[in-house]
Amino acid sequence: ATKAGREHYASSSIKVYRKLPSKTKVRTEHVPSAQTKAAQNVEYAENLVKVQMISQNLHAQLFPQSKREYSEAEHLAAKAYNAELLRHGIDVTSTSPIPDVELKLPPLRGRNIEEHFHSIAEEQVAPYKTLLQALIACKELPAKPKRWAFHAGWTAYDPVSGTATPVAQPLETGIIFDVEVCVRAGNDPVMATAVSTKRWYCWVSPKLTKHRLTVPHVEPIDVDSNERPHYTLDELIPLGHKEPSLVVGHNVSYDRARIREQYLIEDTKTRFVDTMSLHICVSGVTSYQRAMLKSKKDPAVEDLDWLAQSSLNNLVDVHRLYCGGEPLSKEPRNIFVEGTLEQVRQQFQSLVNYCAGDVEATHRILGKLYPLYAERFPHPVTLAGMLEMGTAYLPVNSNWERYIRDAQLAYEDLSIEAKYHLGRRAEEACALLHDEKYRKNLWLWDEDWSVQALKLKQMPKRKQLSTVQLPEQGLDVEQLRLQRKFQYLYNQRALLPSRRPLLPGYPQWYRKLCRKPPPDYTEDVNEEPWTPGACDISTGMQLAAKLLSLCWESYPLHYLREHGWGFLVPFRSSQSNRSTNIPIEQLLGRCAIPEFARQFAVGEAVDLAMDQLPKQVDEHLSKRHFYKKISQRQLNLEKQYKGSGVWCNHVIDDCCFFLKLPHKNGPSFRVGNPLSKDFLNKFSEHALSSGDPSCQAAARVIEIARMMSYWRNNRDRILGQMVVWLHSEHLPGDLQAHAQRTSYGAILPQVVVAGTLTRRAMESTWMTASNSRANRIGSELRSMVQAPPGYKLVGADVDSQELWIASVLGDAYAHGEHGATPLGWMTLSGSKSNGSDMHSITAKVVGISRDHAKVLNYARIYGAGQQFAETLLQQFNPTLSATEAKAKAMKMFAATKGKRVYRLREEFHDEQEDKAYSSYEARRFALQRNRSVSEIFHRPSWQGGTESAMFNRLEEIATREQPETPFLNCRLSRALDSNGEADLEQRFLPTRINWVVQSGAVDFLHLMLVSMRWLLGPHARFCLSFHDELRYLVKDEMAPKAALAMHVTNLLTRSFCASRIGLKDLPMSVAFFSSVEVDTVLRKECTMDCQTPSNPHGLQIGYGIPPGQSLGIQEAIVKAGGGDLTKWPWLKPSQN
Amino acid sequence: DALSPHIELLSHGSAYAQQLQQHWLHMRPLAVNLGSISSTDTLCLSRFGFVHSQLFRQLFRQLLELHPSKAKCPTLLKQQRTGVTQQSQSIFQPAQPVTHLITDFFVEPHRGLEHFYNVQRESKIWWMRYSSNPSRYAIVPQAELEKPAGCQAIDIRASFGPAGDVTVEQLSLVQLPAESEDFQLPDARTGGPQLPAVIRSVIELEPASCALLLDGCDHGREARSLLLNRVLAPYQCAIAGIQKTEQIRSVDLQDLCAHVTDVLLRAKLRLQQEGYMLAANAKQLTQQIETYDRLGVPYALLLDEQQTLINGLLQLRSRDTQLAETVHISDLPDYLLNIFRDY
Repeated sequence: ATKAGREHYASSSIKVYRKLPSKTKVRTEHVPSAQTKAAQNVEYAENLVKVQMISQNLHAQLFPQSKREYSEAEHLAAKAYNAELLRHGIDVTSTSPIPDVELKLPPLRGRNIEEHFHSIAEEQVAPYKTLLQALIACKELPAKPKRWAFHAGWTAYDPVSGTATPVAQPLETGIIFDVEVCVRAGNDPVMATAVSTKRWYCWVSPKLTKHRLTVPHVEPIDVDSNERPHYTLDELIPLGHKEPSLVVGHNVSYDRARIREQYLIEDTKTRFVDTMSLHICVSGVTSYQRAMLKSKKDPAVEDLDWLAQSSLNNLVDVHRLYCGGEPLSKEPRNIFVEGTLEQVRQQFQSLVNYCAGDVEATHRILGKLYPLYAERFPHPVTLAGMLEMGTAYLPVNSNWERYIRDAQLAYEDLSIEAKYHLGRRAEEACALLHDEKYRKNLWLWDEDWSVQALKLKQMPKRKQLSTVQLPEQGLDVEQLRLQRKFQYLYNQRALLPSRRPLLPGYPQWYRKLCRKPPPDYTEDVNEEPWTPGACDISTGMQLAAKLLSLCWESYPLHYLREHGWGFLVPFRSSQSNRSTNIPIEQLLGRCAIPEFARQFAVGEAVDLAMDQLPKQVDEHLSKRHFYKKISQRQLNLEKQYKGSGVWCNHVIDDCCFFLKLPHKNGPSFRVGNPLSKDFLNKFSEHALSSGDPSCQAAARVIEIARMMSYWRNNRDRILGQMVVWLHSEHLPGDLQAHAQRTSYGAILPQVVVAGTLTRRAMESTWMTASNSRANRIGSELRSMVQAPPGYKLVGADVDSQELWIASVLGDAYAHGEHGATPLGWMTLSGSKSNGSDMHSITAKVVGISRDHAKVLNYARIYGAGQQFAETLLQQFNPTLSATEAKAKAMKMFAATKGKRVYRLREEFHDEQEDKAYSSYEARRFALQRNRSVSEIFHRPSWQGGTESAMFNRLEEIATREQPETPFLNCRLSRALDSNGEADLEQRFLPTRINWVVQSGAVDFLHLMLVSMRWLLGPHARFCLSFHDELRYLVKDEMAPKAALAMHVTNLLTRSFCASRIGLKDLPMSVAFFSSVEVDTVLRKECTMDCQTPSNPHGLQIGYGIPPGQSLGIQEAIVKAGGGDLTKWPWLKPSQN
Repeated sequence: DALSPHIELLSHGSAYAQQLQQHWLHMRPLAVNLGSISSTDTLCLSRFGFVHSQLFRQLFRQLLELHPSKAKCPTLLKQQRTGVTQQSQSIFQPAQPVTHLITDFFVEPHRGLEHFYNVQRESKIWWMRYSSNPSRYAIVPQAELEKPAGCQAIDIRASFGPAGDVTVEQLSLVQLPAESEDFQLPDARTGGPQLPAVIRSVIELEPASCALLLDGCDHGREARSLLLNRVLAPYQCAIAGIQKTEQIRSVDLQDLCAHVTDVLLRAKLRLQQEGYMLAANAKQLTQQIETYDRLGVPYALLLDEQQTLINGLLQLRSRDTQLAETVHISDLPDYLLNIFRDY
């Protein structure tokens, strides 16, 4: 530190050493004196905009070289941005300080936080990198054996002689690996091949060789093994290894889920490198590009560049992209997908060869791909983070099976209930047949009410009908007399039509819901006995909405094939000379002609009069004329209509408008079912209701449909989770006692560690799992991940991670000071309670709720434009008209993103005034000069909004020749290379802007993973990370320390990020997690009881799971036995 | 008192209650039915205390001695008992005494809660199936009850909107006295002895029947029908004939009605005692059908002189749809038996 710096620190009596020019690592020592504790205010620090910064002791440990004082010039500059803050209504003095935090961190490796992370990550990846590089360096793989031995378990093959030797597991620790599964025979592996630099290996399942499994089958506890597959370790592939080992594969998480040791509670040191993830990092594509890659059409010229740089993610395409040559054959794969075990046995040699072929291909890909990856992702943290992400582990127990049972039952119960309601409504509606009352029903008038009669055939003229035998046994005299008397009636059965009509006398629409009764009666009940009435009815049918008399904004729903579901709005009361089937009188009785429609009708009448149209004008012509008028007027009318229905220029029978129901994806989409999930989620609360006040069923059916949607959409994925159950001998000693009553097992989620363009991880079940909601069956899914007894799940959500990343980039870029831009300040110091946070302020500006504002804010930061905001606004409030929504969105964008302004390039300063030009002015000026805008002007920037600085920064990064993430210098995918396009004309610019923040967030996550591993070493097992959330499995006694480690990880990670963009300090408000959850189950907050229709009693009562603990930094320090991390044995400085 | 009227079942209602009782007996068929028991021991009706009663111990012994093959965990016992109603809050007061239908489940102790929830669910569905409005039934936790450790209690209640609720079934999860070895049962899977947890279901037959009858009226339809479930309805089918002319009494039609009545009775379908009625004109028939609707008779067979006497076609009129379908006399009684099959 400088002299001034040291003086500055003198007050807290912390010694700071000057950085040494040598390369040796420097250890800094910070011993807070007793004085520090006594005088708290010496720990307090704030910056130029009165944002509270981390306590002095922390700053001294994290930014040892930087001073904490400001020059005159800086103070002067601060005045300017303080004024700007004030202009946006921010009072920097409005905050209250939070307590200082005192921690003794383990000494940083290297001179500063940046070197520290580099160093610890290098150390973490070192053993794996060595193994990986050996595989890459091996240009020629050992020779494949000519013949594969059909032996259960692993066999090793001598590279020279090809001799097969049974082995317990591969002998080398670095392998390339591929597993095959016979899909029809279950999820467990049937064979696998692996190659190391020394030799080939093949594993064959005992199931295939028909060997008995070594361990006798034990009846599972509490698990319905009959109904659902039940996997145990014995069916999986052993890899062994207590030392660091490496497995490379394409989409390797699929293979990992079939490796035995991965299911044990203790982590093995095996790590996985996924060539698919490496490929996505280097050449990943946007969803648009993926669609293009999949399409069979000839590509457009502008797509050729990126098409040459990318491919779909499957092995064949990836291999073609990097290695070229003969395309890989995927033919044999079909046997694994569709064939039986017997077929696999028969074609064993060719199938193993196919499997080995994939291993070879993976090796070739790795050789080409890894150097590209290493160059584009230079920081060791990136690889370290990806390796860690690949070890996800979700512990479950018998409650998993119970959850599935309960969810299924709750689902069935509710579907029965909904069906029952609909059936009742259908029965009730039948009565409308009397006197054709249905003609006056607003919903059912256009159903098919035709009735079929049961007619007997003509009596044969000559022949007598044969006599039907009737039982006479046990009948008394009178009974016999009557039976004989009416024998002639029974005989006429022969005259019944051979195909009996179903329910003669009932309307056609009802008959379609019923099933044919069995021809006669038998005592024994078959699988599903016949029941009378409307049994084939469900909420998925069009009829359901009609039976429930559903209304939108109090207008009756109506279905048209071309437009989907919509509703009828009357505009004419007299039917004049036109005839209609619509019960217009009833419609008018229910809903008066709205003002906008009245004007239409009146206007039309006036026009008719003026034109003096003769009555005999051809109907057709008049209709055409009529429709033309509508389109002329449509704009006008649309403005007057205040609802959320969608105009589709459709008039029915000259008395009603048909308006489409709004669809979440926009006005061009049709609503296929108003009882579907998406529709109910977005709209039901406001406008959908039953038009029949006596129909309580409608509200209930809507409610049920909403409850069922989650389970219906996720059921297959959840049921398909491969749970591997552990026998007690595979459990740690303490757990074995519990295992007599409860089964323990684990799920290895199929994480693609870098699954998207932004390198975010992807997983189809767990990463999209929503939080538990009171009205969603099965939405307690995540809480069914449960730590075994003696363990805890520790984790936290990064508080507004993306918002902070975006705002800190803006702060650093604009003023080099935390919180110096309005967005930055709101993110750091704004509070929900006094309405000074970003969401509250947007809410105020636009006049919407804070929750809605939050969605809009994130949408904007993710790169969504004004139009998207309009759509969102209308979704939130269907009564908002398009015009109002537009006005609100405009207002919001002006306040936040600001205005786009252009500055002249220097060479034009002589010609024109150097000031901010609007895009209109800029374009006009360029047009006058006959040049492009970018020739005359610099890249435009945003000005005047709270977020202008941030967007300028993001655009600056995104428009670079080679965009890199600001934290770890990770490059953008090759598929989005700019190819020298001018700044703002770049095709994928919005994606690239979005990428900066999202990919920055991935860097953030990788940094956290590395930091946690450094702080906890082998004492924590990584469970899962969803976006900004991180969870670890730790032993009970380690839990408080793990919680503190989480807090420290946040501190270190944010410090690193700030440091990387030139800010050598960190605000207190983001230094620590607001809370770290120490819990036994996976849930958003440790107090969530996860009550759902399938878990009606909640976790506490229903499952006996108590709430967890939520620890702030101060509590975490206390629980962890103090804030001196250097005392943690595994972190003792002596080890470094 | 005036707020909660006293209600007594008359003959039709009693017949209905009997049906309900029969269906209760058939539900959960693995049960050991210990039949009707009369006892003055009030402890044995206490919500959680019953496990300490002499009678409970006695019944448990009966299970071990008389039904050793079923004396495994899990198992269940059924008994019927006459006594005083346990309910204090209800929208009506039933006539005393009432019949208690009691089912005791003996389940593995560590899965007690899970079983308890399953039983709740099953029971709720059972009530829903008999209802004109399945959403009427709710599981209501008895939070205010003082519960011994490990005990839980819920009521299944039928809600009648603003009028209030009627409890139709009470379910309690109770722990057996730990010190007692008398109550040990072998585990059905492992055979190891264990002290089971008890889940007791109590249905008070008469109040529950009243609730179901009320439920049949409370349907919001225009028609004044009593929507009794067709398998529980005391009278499943009615038979009515309509004469061609008001004056001339048709003997043939009368005979045909008698014959059809006989056919249905022989098939063990439940009909009214008077069997059938003959209407002299359409108005009379309409009135008669309205009466059937109000009695909750789900189906009526309509016979006439023009059709039925000539070709055997008759009308099967449904209370719920108010429509009639045409069936042939030879379809009887199988078609009706299928309709009334208890699934």
